[in-house]
Amino acid sequence: YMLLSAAPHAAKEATTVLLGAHAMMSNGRLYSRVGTAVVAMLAHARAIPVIVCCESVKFTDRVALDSIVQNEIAPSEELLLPFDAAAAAAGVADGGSLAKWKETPGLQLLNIMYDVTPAEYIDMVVTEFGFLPPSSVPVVHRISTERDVRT
Amino acid sequence: MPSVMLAPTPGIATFLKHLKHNPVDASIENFVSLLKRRQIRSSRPCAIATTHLLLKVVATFRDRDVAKLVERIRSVGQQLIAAQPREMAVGNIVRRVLGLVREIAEDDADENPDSTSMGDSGYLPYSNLEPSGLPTHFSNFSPPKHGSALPQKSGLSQSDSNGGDDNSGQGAVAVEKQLDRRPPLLTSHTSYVASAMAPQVTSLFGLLSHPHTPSPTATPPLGTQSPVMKPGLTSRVLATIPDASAAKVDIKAEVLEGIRELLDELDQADDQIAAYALDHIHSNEIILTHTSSTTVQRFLLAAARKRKFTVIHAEAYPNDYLETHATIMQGRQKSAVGDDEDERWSPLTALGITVIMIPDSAVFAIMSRVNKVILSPHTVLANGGLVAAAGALTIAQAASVHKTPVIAVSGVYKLSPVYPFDTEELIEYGDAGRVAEFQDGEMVESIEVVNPLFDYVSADLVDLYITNLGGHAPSYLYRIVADHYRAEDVNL
Repeated sequence: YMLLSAAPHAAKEATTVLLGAHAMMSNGRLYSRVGTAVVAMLAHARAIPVIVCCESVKFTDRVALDSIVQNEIAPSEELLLPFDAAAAAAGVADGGSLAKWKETPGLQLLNIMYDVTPAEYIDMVVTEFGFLPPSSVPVVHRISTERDVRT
Repeated sequence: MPSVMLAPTPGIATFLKHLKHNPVDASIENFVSLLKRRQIRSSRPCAIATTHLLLKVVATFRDRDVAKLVERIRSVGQQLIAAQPREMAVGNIVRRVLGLVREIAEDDADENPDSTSMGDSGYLPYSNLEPSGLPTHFSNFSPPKHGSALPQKSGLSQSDSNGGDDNSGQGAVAVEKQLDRRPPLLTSHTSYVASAMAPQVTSLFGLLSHPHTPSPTATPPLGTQSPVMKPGLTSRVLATIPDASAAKVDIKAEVLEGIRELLDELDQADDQIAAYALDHIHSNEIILTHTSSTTVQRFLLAAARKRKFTVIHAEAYPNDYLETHATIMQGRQKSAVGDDEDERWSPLTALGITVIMIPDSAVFAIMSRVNKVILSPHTVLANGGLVAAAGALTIAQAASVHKTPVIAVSGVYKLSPVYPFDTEELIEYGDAGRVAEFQDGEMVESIEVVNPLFDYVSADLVDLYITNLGGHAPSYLYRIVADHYRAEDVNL
């Protein structure tokens, strides 16, 4: 068990990487929790296979090139650690923690929720239909939605 | 966590106080235990502490023999390095000091015994040869005289080259060599030998010789203005003998002077690096950095005075995030080192810079918008690679994917001559309790929890190093290593 900052150390010893998905974009990119792209990038650099497990219902028409244009931002307070949040609530003048970040002009805490992993980092997508390459995502999406429309 | 919670917390400040009041060996033991217990960490405090310690070691060294001084420094160095091999700054400073001592010893040795070799006739002005009171010809080469003697020398060489004594002819040739080689700016010692001494010019010691040149205070001269090169083999020989003892005392003084210069270099490194900030940071750029490094913050502050840009700061959880938060919010309020001058600096937000803090996981996501990445290494290696806080490899690799330039800022004191044959060895592991709390019994019992403190970033991921000597490509670092360290000191 390691934190994301130790991911390169984990990647040294891994033989396979399994990732979950929030969505799969039609250009083959994976839209998943922030940090997924980091793991995929490190695995790709070491030629470790990256496998995404994703139901076809999560496939979408949308395309994304980067993680900035379409994303969600979670409340910044989540980045504060429990003692920070408690200190903020209590108004404690502990300058060392981020408790008073709102009062500091120019300081923003950015807590993005998702990131987009480029398709070339993904080797295989596992769906209820079987195994696919990421480039098949739009095809499967179209077929499954057409089927729904027809029935 | 084994830190002793007395007031004051043991660290560099307590070590320096201890050093002032206690004998050297006790201080060595104190430093070794601070290193072992990791109560003194990170390159700058370790480098400063090592330099102060070596200053005291040399100051209290009683013997006259330079070889013994080298041995003493080596043995102290071995103890310190063995205490914490991953604090490479300690080893770097020890090697710098050893290189300094060897250089001074060599300069001195060249004058003393070697009266037969012709190359030696021109000299070290501040070499202690001269105090004997004999009107030797060495004084001809002391800098102010050099300047004034210039035209006479060339005349002399021509007249003597035909006949006369071998010695004077050779001496004259040496003079001429000297004239050809260097204009009177530098001291003669740097010019008399073409090869091995050339790096001296760029070394710390060579730099030291500039301020000495105008004032021959250390050159005791006989102050003789005898421009004429007498065929003085005999008097030269006589001159060398009594100077041996005076020579050694001065060697110690010069070594101490050199170590003090090294301390100054450590103090000024950040300022010198910050001087290059405006060349690299432009308006409306988005810069990514991580951890609470002082060097990076001062670099950015120097640019922030003239330009407006945005900084995205990755908190380095779990090891450095508290310091990172403190740096973002307040800058540095008080200095970490006891007797340091002004180490306070304001946070970037106070200068109107927008700072966006992100968790480490978001690095890849925002990298498409980042213009430059600035990293601060813990150690720089001779092959151009670096060891930096955990998370640096992720950032550097994400930057390389997005073709974003990566700049590493560090003083030359962090540059180690050691080649990383095994990069695994360089990584220090820290407290696993920061990753998964020890209270979480089930987790701790069934799962292996790892907390590496550092990452090794290879040279191909770094685009530029900015040191106190300027900007360099990673491929140039081996030259800086060659300038500052001696090959025989690499394996201590």
